[in-house]
Amino acid sequence: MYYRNNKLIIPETINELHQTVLKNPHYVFFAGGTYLMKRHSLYPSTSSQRIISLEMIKDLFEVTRNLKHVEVGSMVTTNKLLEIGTLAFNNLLLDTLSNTATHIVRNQITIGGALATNNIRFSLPGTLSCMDASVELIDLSKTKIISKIIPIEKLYKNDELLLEEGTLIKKIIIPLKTYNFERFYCVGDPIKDPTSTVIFAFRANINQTLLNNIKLSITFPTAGIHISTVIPSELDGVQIPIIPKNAISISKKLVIELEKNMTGVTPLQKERAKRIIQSILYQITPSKKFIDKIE
Amino acid sequence: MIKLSMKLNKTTLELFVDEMKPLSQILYEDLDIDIPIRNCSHNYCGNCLVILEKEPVLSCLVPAYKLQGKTITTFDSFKQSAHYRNIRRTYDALNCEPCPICYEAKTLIIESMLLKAKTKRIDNNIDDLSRKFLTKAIDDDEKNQIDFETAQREFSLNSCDCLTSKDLYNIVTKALDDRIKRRVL
Ligand SMILES: Cc1cc2nc3c(=O)[nH]c(=O)nc-3n(C[C@H](O)[C@H](O)[C@H](O)COP(=O)(O)OP(=O)(O)OC[C@H]3O[C@@H](n4cnc5c(N)ncnc54)[C@H](O)[C@@H]3O)c2cc1C
Ligand code: FES
Repeated sequence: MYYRNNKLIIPETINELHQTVLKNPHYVFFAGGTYLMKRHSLYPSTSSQRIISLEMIKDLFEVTRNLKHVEVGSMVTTNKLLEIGTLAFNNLLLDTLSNTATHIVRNQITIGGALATNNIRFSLPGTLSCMDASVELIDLSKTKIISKIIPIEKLYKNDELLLEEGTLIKKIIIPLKTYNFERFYCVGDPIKDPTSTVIFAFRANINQTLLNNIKLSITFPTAGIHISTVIPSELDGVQIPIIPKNAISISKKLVIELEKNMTGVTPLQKERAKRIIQSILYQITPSKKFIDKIE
Repeated sequence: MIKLSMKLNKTTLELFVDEMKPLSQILYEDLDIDIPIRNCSHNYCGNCLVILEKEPVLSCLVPAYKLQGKTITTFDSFKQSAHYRNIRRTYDALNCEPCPICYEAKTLIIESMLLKAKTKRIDNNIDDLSRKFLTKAIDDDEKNQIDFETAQREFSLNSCDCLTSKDLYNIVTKALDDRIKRRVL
């Protein structure tokens, strides 16, 4: 373990990290630093807060794959995940990754950091929720390390991050399931204009003229993530193509759902959400195989 | 504080700095190097780019402790390279270049896109002969590796809108052509 001095600690294993956390109650985990370097007063700093850099812990960089899912260590960068992803992941995740910041910044953004920003929600958590991904958390605050796996959406409640002090995101578990209709939209700039930005991740299976396996997550950077219950229930088993009148009515129901469940969503965000869902609904057409058959 | 040892534009330096001090601040406060970052104030202006170990980075996002033993190239030093001459030639050929405020940043964003387009296929560890052979083999479809949308996104890192997305895209694709033609590896 490197102790540059009392302020910066760079453990090399999870065990060393555990000891570090037990000995230092006031600290912050440092991953890619793209969020922390701008938002926290890390420099110049007057507080006694320690910085625990995660960059030397090999376990956090591991990527493993089996037939059902890929497990990605939390220190893997978004660019690296994009490289791996072209071989393994669905378009929803690839679109999300390539829409996150720019190549230069993605070299630095880690998956763990993208999930654990504490008062703003970026695009990755919503997409991973839509893909039914989960995270392995390890609680380092007790004398024995306790590990648990939870669905990504359980990490958040509205705009709040529910990660307890002393808990580390160790890895992300991403199912290798694909859907034949997937869409990612980010309207606005989550960094420069978070209160007007809306991020959509939508997936469904089109089975001839029916829709099923529907999931929609909507992210409002400052208000949080919402997993829609209205959209799956409105669309499940519905005949497609969806006629404009129905699309408009469904989009209005989505806005009502947002108004009931989310606080802090601005009128512009609601309008954008309405338009995006309408656009998605218009794009849903019967599967090509079915059209070929009837032609 | 840490004793930081790093290479800046081919000169090895040692200095004592706070471990979390951003590279941008080290450059202008400790090393008197002018980089145009004064108006940023947490808005990600994208003007503070430098090259860290061959890759462009936003220097305000890199803390001192991550620089231990690393090589940093500022824009002034990058200007001596064949890669810069390639981009400069393109500006001249198209009679179109970024304004003085974002000239350095936009040029480095272009460099990062060109590097990515080339390194995608050419492994750094191969010998010179195979490298030349491979470069020749990929010449034809290489040009298509940067699409308009990607270029537009990459340039969004810099907030100055002195050039249109179309102008910037033309610069990148022309510079890539030139780089391939002249074998600027
Ligand atoms: C110029 C720029 C443009 C951007 N554009 C976009 C964009 O278009 N879309 C988008 O979605 N995002 C964007 N981002 C935001 C970016 O996604 C976040 O800054 C990033 O997710 C933070 O990741 P990091 O690895 O740098 O984390 P850090 O800054 O190191 O850490 C972020 C937080 O996570 C905590 N943390 C880190 N790792 C762990 C872990 N393993 N376990 C527990 N806690 C942890 C840290 O303690 C800290 O609180 C942009 C950022 C920049 C700088
Ligand atoms: S100083 Fe503006 S982005 Fe770095």
